[in-house]
Amino acid sequence: MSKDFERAFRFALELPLRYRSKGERRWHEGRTANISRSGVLFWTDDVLDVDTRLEMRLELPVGPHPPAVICRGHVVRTVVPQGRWARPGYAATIGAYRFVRGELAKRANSRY
Amino acid sequence: MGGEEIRIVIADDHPIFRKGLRSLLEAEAGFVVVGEATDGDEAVRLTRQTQPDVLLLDLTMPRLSGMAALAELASAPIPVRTIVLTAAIEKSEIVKALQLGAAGVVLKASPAELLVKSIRSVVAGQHWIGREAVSDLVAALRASMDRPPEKTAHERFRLTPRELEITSAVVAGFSNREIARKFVLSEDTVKHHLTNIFDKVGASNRLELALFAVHHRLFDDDTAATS
Repeated sequence: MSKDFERAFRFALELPLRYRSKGERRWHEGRTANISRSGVLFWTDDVLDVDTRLEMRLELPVGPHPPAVICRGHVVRTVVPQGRWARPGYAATIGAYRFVRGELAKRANSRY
Repeated sequence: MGGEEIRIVIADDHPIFRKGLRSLLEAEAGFVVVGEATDGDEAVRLTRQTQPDVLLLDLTMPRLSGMAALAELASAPIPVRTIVLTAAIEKSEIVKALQLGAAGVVLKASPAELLVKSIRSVVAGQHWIGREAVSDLVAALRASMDRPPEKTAHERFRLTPRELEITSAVVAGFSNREIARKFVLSEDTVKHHLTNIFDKVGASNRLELALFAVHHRLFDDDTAATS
């Protein structure tokens, strides 16, 4: 985990997250537990290996046509189930990212 | 509120959770699930359309948050009893939900029987606040009554109306060039505003600004982010 990931403020935000590993077509669903500018902790039913490279799509719950943020990163650690979460979570870095605007994000989201 | 049947709408963006909840509720005598909504917008529309007795409303949902949906429902009240059914909630949010007309707050981690009991209680005209969530709710309520009218998030962070507009455009995914065109500004002016915004909220990049805006519900009180 980079130092930046440690330092960046983590927002406790539970947001729907879609992700897929490099080269994969299908998106998988997860749920964020917290996010910072440089990393995300999320929960999913799938099993992911450390170092798996991911493309992640995060929908921001704002306005009638929520924008999405698409980012790339990789899994840096597995988090054991805790609290109300009965399944393992994953911490992933966030490297490059881009925003997808309202209607575009809506259309893109509806395809998955 | 009609007859012995309790008509319920479930609003939650998790399909597996909705399915499980529907099964649980329909196994209960007299409960009928009349609709499922996957986001806040749909929750408002479905509630107005089906006029249920009870709306079970998640807070964290796409398009329109649960709190914004509550506010929307409060703007044209219909006789629905809303229970906020959420994974986690802060005391200030409970107070806000109650102010917006919620009849109950139940944590998703609660036992199923408690949810059933809460539904029957709110239909009977009572309020239901999950015990664990509100150990010191009275103090929170008192504090909220003693406080001067709460400042909106952008007032708290001293964002000017222009800075708020630009933040909204950033969160909506507009580039600096597009923002400049949209508000008839130069790109340099937009950059200057952005520097000030980053300083005020402590963000280092657009993603962090967007997360900050969502976390602090910067646009809940105003127009939603420009799309």
